[in-house]
Amino acid sequence: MDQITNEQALEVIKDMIERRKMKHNQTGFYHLLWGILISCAIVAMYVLVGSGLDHLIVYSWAIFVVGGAVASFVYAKRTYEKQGSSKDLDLGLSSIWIGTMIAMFFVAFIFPILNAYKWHVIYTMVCLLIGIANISTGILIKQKISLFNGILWWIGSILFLIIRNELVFMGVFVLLLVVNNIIPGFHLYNLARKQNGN
Amino acid sequence: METNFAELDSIIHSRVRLAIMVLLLQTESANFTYLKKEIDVSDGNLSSHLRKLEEAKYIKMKKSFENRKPKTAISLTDKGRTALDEYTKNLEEYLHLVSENKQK
Repeated sequence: MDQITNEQALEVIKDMIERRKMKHNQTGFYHLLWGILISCAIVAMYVLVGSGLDHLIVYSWAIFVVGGAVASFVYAKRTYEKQGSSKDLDLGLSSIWIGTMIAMFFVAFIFPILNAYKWHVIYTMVCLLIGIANISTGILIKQKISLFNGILWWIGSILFLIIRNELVFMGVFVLLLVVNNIIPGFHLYNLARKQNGN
Repeated sequence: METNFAELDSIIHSRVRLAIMVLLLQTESANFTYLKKEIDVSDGNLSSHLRKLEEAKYIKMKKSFENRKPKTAISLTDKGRTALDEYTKNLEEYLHLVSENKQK
């Protein structure tokens, strides 16, 4: 029977809204993607500096940023096909991360080529951008962990202006990546798998 | 407390049709499989409810082919959006009345 009372109607509305909310924990993908890509970019940077090939750093950043943009676009498209629905929030989240990547392309590739600043400032700028993306995501999907990560990235951006020792510099960045992206990424990804019954 | 069903839109006031409308309100468009999975109904049941909503012009269904497979994109119309808005307002008023009566 399909007849419902007014109270049951309210329950149906609540239930359908909750079901849609669950889908958004799939943003764990973006955390993981960026954690892994930036880790690779840092390793490449470290190798290039060690080899005296500093001038190639901007190109390695460009490769990882463009790679991330393509991967995010493909993921957003496949998510739509798999879920069978799209919504403004999905579009908003994809836009935030793809927009962040485009900004990172400028920060890590175009501006250094134009001699706007030295290569080590890339860290500070990248931290600020990832912080914005994490905080915006956290507000949209109501996840405190993402908000907290965004704040940590911003604190990191200040630290990178103060730290002068290269090894400490790299260590802090790797630590930020693990705490801010890799761990929450796995957490959000597993949460989504459980909620979707996979 | 008398339940006044007349105030609520009878086309929307059913478990499946209300669920369809609320899901579509949150999406730009959705396909048949997605709605079937979320609402947990049979193909025939979902089809008949979708037909009813389409007849009322609350939803529109756009059929297409992707990789030679038929696909149906279902979305709310402006009329459907307005009707759901009205429905939730009336429901809210009703629940508010019930709550007030209980306090008395």
